[in-house]
Amino acid sequence: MTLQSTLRPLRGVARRLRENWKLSTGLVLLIGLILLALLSPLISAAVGQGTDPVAIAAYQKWLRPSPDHWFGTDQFGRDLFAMTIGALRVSLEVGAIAGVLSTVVGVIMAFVAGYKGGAVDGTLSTITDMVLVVPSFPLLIALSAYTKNVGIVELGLMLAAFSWPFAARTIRSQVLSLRARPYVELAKVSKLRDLEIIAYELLPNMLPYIGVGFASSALGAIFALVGLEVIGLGPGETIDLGKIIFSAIGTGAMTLGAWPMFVAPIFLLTLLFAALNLINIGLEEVYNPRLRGVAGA
Amino acid sequence: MSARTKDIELHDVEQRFHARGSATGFLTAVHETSFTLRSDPPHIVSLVGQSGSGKSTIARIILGLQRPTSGTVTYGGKDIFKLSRAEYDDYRRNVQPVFQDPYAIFNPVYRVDRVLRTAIKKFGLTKSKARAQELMEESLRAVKLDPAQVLGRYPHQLSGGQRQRIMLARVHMLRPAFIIADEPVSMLDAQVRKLFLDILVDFQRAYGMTTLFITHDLSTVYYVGGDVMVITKGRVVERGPVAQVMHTPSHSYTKMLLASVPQPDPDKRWTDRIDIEEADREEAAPEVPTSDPARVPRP
Amino acid sequence: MPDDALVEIKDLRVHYRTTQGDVPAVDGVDLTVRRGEILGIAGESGSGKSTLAVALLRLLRAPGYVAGGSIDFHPSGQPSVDLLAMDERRLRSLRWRSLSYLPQGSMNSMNPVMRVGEQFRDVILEHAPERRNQLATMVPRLLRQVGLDEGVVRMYPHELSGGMKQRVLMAMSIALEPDLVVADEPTTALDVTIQRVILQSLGDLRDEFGVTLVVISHDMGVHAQLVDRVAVMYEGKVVEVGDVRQVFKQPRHPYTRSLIESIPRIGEAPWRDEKRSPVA
Repeated sequence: MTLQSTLRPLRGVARRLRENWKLSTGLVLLIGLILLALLSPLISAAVGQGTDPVAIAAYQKWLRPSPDHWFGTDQFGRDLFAMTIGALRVSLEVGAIAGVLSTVVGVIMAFVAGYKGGAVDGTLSTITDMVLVVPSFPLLIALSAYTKNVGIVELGLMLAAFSWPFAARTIRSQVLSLRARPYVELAKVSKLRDLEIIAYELLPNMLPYIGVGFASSALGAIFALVGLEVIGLGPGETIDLGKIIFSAIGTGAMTLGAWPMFVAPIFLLTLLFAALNLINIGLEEVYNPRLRGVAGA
Repeated sequence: MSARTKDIELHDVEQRFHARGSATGFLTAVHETSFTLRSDPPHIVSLVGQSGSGKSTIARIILGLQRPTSGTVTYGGKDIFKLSRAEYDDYRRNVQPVFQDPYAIFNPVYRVDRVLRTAIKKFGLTKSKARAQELMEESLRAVKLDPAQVLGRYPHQLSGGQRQRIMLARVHMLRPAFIIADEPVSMLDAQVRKLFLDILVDFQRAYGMTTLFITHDLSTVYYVGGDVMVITKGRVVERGPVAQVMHTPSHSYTKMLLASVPQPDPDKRWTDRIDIEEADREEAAPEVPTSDPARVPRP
Repeated sequence: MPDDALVEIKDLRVHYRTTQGDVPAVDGVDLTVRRGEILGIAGESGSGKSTLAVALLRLLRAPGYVAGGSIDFHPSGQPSVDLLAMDERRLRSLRWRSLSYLPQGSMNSMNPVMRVGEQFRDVILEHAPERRNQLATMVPRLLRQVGLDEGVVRMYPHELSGGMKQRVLMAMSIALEPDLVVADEPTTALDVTIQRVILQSLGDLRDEFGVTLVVISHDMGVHAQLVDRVAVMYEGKVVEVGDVRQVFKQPRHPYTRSLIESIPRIGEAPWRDEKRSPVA
């Protein structure tokens, strides 16, 4: 097997990226945001010059944006630029944890239900639908009232508990359509076991949909947390983008001239929203032929 | 009893599906159907019928891909859904399909070789890599394909005729006692179609494989010869040697089918007109949504 | 220009843009459709016959594009036009009234949530609003012409079988008495008994209403039964065109010959022929 033939699928991916501007723009945006978040300790160190720029009273309160403090400081004298980037990291981490968890749960539920069919599917689908119709936001509010001082992982878990059904439903319908494909039937008469069929025949064809499932649950989780924080019911002491917005509202930051405290997190959230949705739409377009521009006969 | 003397027998096989919008809530795809496919002597049996006649359902049932609502399918006298491990291995080894759609039969993410390699591995044809390569190349040549042009390719890089012949190469490697070929040429162009049928008939003769050839096209039935069963609305209405059924059909449905085949000869144009209402009655009803057959309660 | 020419295709070239450069699908086709005839276009998949049809109907979509040539259309009672050079607005006024299309896979060409009658109404009012008053009599008459009960007017597409849908579309295609109907694989995916009904109805369109038909089909049986002249396409070129009997009886091009010889026929049993070599 030559190197060239091994690289062929990668070249296919590269071609699809080139051909779909939504997918490529979304990916560039997302990668940019992730890099920014990963650089947050470096940024923090650079801003702090040896001290912690987000420690209480590190600087004077309510400093206007300046070359030293690009976004100014908040009511406790913390550097807002370093804080916003740190919060982006927290938001992304929570999203990633919730996204991974709900995708894993969703994928397992979907594959078992979709592939096995019959009564198994009936039961699992009912459970999925029940969780789906539970009004998650009020429940989250109630839940967060009892959970003070929780970490990022616990937050992710809490959010994933409500977001997995979205992933499960999308993926199940795909499994249903894929399991009737002739290549699955050929696999059956070739004595492949159920697990082998799921892993080798179905899963590779499901990756784009799993990607979509992951992106939507992650996005859902990030925004659910922002929602909680903005109304002041955020659990724990972790500072995510929502908490900065909440502080900005609570302290009337806009009237004090600290507009970046309000604008910066919202701008980052908008970018993130745009990035993940562009990726979602792009993947759908690339892998769902019905949405693909129809070629001539 | 060796594999070559085991028969496939259908006893009163009936398949119903849930169907919204039909009077009974059921749609009976196959009505109590019985027939036997004998492995000795090896022969070709065509099952001919139009869309919705139940012919593909029968293929899926014989292949064990679908459980009939009632009735049994036996292989060597044993119900195929109640086989022991060893019996199941024997049944799978000896009852193999060629499916209709040369595009959907390949998983788009893998190279086409995988279909052959899986067969070698799962049926234990050989453990040696070199021998496996030899087997694949030999079988590809047997279906008039150049191994160098096929191996290592992805499905979308090959034509429909090439892909469908790879499925024949798979059969050539496995040499099952039975081939269940469900509309294997309906999606092929005329020239490749002829080549495919020639290879299929040659295999059947050379390796003694009994072939169930399922088709909607009477002219291909004539081409492959052997015996034929005519199926409509889930019932086999006529059976017999091809020449006899084609030249002296006894059932009115067979007669109508025969009269409807457009002869590829401008001098043999139809001179009479067909009764449109009668033809409409014979056409399958508009597709009724059916659901998972697994949920149909067994009577 | 020959007096009886309805469509003159001259040196038509249609290419598809791909990542590996342009691929010609129709490669310099010259073809004349005569008024009142049924012209068959034969060829296997990839021969360019469907691309020729969509180019003729100006329905070609990216990545396909016309790389050259002209298609002169001479509708009755109207000035001649080059279909390829004409603007969209003018083209719209020709569609259905002068030039209509019976698409392949008609099953998916109808609006699933509209009754058959409403679909007729839409087409007729859009392209010939002056016929509003005739609608009530016109639609049942059209349906009867293709052997359908008038009750079909009130039915939804899902209540019709494949053959009935195909005939509804056929009735729709002749609703505004066009000069030319292009039928793309009109019998593909239909059962043989229904194929015969469709072929009979297509023949009636010409015999009774004088419609000129271009019938694209990979099935040589369809051409033998239906058409007057047949053009055989191979690799984007018309390799042979002529009277259907001449083409079937004395094919000039080797490709045509092999195409005709490869059709299995009832009554000729090759399995008795022991000359066929077994494989092993």
